Amino acid sequence: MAESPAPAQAVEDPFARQRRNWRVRSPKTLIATFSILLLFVVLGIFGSQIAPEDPFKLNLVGRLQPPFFEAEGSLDHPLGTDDLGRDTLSRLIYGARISLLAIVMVIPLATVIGSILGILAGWFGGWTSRVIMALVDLQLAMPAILIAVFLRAIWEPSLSNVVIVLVFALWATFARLVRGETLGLKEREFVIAARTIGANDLRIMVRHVLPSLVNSIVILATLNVATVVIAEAGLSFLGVGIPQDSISWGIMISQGRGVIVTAWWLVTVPGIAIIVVSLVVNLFGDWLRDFLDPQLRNIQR
Amino acid sequence: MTRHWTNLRRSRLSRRSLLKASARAGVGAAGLALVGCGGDDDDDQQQAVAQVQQEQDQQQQAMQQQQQQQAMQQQAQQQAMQEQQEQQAEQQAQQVEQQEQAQQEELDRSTAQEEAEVSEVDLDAEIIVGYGSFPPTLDITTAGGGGGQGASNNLHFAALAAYNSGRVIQAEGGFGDWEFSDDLSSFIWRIKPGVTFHNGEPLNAESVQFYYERILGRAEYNPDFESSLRARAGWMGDISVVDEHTVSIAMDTPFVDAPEQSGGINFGLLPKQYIIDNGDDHFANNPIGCGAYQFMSWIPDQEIRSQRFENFAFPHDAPFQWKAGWAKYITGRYFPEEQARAAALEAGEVDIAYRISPDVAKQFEDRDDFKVIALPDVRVMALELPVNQSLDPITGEENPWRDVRVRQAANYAIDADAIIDNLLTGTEERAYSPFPAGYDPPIGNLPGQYNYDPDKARALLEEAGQIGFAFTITLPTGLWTADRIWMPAVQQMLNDVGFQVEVDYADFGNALSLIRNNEVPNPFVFNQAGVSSGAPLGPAFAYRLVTTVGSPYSHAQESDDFLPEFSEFQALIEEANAEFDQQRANDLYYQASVISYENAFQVPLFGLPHLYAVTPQILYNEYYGTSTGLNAIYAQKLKT
Amino acid sequence: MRSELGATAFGRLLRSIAVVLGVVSIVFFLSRGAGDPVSRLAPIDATQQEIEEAKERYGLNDPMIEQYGRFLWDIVRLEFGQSFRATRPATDVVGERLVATIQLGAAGLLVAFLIGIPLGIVAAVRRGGATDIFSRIGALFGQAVPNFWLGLMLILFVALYIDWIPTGGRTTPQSIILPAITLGSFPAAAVMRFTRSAMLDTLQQDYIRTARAKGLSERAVLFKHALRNSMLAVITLLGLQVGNILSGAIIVETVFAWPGLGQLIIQSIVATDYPVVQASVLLTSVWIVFINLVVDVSYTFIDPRIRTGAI
Repeated sequence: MAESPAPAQAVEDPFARQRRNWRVRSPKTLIATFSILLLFVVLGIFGSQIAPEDPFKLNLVGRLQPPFFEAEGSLDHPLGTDDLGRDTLSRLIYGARISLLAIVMVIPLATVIGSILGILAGWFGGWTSRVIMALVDLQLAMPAILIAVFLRAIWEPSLSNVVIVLVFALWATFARLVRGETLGLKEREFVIAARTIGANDLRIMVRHVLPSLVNSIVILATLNVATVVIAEAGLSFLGVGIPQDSISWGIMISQGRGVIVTAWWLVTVPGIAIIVVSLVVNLFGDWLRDFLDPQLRNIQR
Repeated sequence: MTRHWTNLRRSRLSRRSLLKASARAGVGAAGLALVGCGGDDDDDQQQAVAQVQQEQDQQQQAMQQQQQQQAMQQQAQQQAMQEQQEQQAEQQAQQVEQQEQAQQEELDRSTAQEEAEVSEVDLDAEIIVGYGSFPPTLDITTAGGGGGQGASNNLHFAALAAYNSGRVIQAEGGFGDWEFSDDLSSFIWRIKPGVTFHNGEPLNAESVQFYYERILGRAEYNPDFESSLRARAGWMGDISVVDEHTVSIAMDTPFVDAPEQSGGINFGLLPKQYIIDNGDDHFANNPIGCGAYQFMSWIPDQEIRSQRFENFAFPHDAPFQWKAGWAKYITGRYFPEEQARAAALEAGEVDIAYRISPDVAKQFEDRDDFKVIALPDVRVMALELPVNQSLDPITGEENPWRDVRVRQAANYAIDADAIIDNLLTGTEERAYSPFPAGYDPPIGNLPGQYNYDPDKARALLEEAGQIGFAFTITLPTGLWTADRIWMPAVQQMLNDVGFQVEVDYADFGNALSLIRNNEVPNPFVFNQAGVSSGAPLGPAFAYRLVTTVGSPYSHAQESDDFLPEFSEFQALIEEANAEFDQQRANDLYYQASVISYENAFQVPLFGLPHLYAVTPQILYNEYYGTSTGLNAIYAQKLKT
Repeated sequence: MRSELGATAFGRLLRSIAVVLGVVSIVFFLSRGAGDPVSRLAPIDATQQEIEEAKERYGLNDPMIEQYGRFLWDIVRLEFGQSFRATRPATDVVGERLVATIQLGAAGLLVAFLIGIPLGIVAAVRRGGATDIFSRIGALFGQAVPNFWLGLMLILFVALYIDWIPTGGRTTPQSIILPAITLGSFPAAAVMRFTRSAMLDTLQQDYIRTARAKGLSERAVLFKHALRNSMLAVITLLGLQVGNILSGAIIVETVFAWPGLGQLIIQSIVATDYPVVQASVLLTSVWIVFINLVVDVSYTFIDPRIRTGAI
């Protein structure tokens, strides 16, 4: 059995199948998960073509219309309108793009940076490891949100600020996982064999260690997607994320706050969107973990 | 919606009543006849207005002659000044009185319903106010513009001069009476005898002298003291005690604004001995003033408790700004989130939810168990355009704002009326000039000028070859009502005619300091009527605060490449700012305003309301036009 | 054994100091990059000369490295200077807020542990049972719901209908209920998952089998080992969650008007009040580092199997 990174590594779980039954292994859940995920990606990419209306179009007279199922609502604006009469559904669809963009930019960056540093720390040990682990500690000691507010004070708000902040917040998770796994792999026969035939460090790391890590890294990356979605919304909500006049689910919630009592849907709808996406992504992550490598059930997000 | 806001009128103080009161008081009324505030629906007025416009050129010529004459007459005039002013004011007050008789009756009827019998007011009550901003320090001379004046400064401190309800500074009704020396070399305060601070320390010439010297960093106990008022008091030369109740302040050059910049709302008086004995840090946490309420306790960003000052120098029914408090205790609580503030009111945790948006007001207006108080603001929101920079700071190419067609396009693009009707309460005044509604020169009543016309806007922009002109608007956020609601609408309206606008929603204090340092080269939104430095003239403040070289919140700098029209404008404003004769200064401001308007130097938008939701037990009937809005001192809580 | 533990503890301490130094540097350079504090502080119509004088007085014209050195020395003496905004010592301003945030953080952690640990234990013992399914679905949701959104919903649906629960502020003891629930919900999910898997792991250990084989009642086995396990979980999670709790607190304090450090940090950064920013960020970080140090060290004492390096 592979040496585990976490102290609480589970051995064969006799109830695994039973547990999976209620979860993603149920075909219905699985189909639902995949279709929602697909829908999210499609909306994120083709939102501007799909949205029924221009999400910026003002309609001051028709502001704060409720969703269609309420007495005063209509199907012209199925999810109602906001405080400037803009179509909530269209804005929701547009908002998916920012979430998707954040995911697409943050996750690969954090994964690559974290994994490289993690391998280096695990492989070389000693001072390399110490310095890198001190950086990990540094990240733990500085909540990302503080960095976000600092950046907001220095630069204009932009998506790149959000990306920097979230990469800073997430890389350490990868570094720790990868370092732990590398430590284990170092002692494995095939790595020792590669060493004895005189392969250099870089070659071993790339050709032998990395391929064995891919599964865990991919799983961890998936499990962090929801974190990115929620964190982006949180930063935008606080006003330290993307510019206030662009559309993101966090900004929609923040803008809806002022009319939460009279127009409940403005806060509720984007909130539900965030929850659904995070939920689905997490379910997908769990499924992926079970699918790729049941051994890694305990990767913490 | 309309119904709601008509119901509101009962608790709304009419702008007209404020102006009327100011006219009665006789100061600042000089502008009123000219302004024609007698009523927008008055036909005679409108004709007069139209005439004024036609006769502009003639007027201007006449003005120039007048200028020369007046230069010669100035010294004689200065002596006769005060007398003259009083006469003028009295005449105008009468005029206004006549013009407004009908409206006055109506108004009296409606306010009568709101005015409580003194016997019904609970003098032992505690009023709890939920504020959206809290002061960082309780020393009025260091708190600066950090927000939260309502929670401390208004209660604990009082200044030498008082305002009337038109927000015009008064020589009577305050703690002192002022006078310029005959040769205009010094400015003199006569302090009312028998006034004490909350700790019993007397207010006298010595404490006033110490007060100014502390602000200026000249007081011996702590020369390093840093006050946010220092620059305001920068005009003061030597400060000397003439007798126990008289202080004289030397002036290098005659300073028109001396009363406001030594006795205005920012200059809340402090006790000398208490500060010397306890030090500045202690004072910032345990303030003593001579205001209507005395400080009890403070938990920063949480709660401020105050108690009625029983030895306050003025009674409940004093005619001007300073009046004794009604409730025995006033407690301020801090709720930065607007909805939390509203919810606290709903849950009975506070009696007054301070500064709410029109949408939140609508939550309450319909109900029997709450009501909404709306106070007008004497200020006007406007988009300030950088017209004097030859190059666009971002592209480095020629500055499109120098083309009057682009500026006019921006004016035509914005449907201010739709914003007022749908996003605000529907009762705000559409602004046509940088003067607050009611102080408008007659151009404000011209129909059709720069009214919403998106097609014309687009045509103008196209003609100028500027379709797609991209720029950023800086908006200081956090203090102005519904800022995040109307600003996106303005932005989108500009985009709809072919501009490409981004909005920078900036922190209020930071944005102010950037604008002040000329570090905001792009258009910014500002409210152009901080009356604070405008006394003794009503409209004066507008230009003093904003558009010209030398005013703190302006794009214009000495080094700029001025448009010829702007140079003309600048010259008129400078002349008016140094003019002791009110009537004449007003005329000059008027001319300047016409130039500004014709050249579309800015995009005037609208006045904003101050809105408050309260329980039915709270009555509120006073307003002195200060930018802080509702002052808890005047709030009455009825017995239940 | 002892000395090895001592050495480990000493190593951890050194590392912690290095981390604190890193935080200090980041804070210093980021806040100097954030803008000129004097222009903000100066009176509305201060002249250029007055601004220059003020800069001189605050030492803002000195070379950066000199300012940095002075900054380090000041921190060693716990001297953060006067708050620009409140014109009082920054340490005082921060100190006033500390209690509120510690209260909220502790309450949030308590909520997280009170929900997470019992559910985690029950879920592990009755795998696949109703509680397991319920609590795992709950955990999925707990990790999907943004806390600022939850806070708004709680104000909307709870505070407005239950009189004795205030909507915000810190006026009565009940004030803490909603902020604590909001803050604790996200960590609660993590705590539950962690406890559950730790518990599952333990239940399969040899010594449990032995205990069972010895005929100890199921209840006794569970109590003895479950308790021990939860304690381990508490300690481990304390270290992992303290950072989450503090950053969560910044948002929650904003939503519920809780006058704590988080709110202060936000206010001070927008007002470029460096002394306060520096003092509070530094304090937050030292706090996190310290708790993690304690956790690491105590962990090695409690469970000697996991001693060095590997984690």
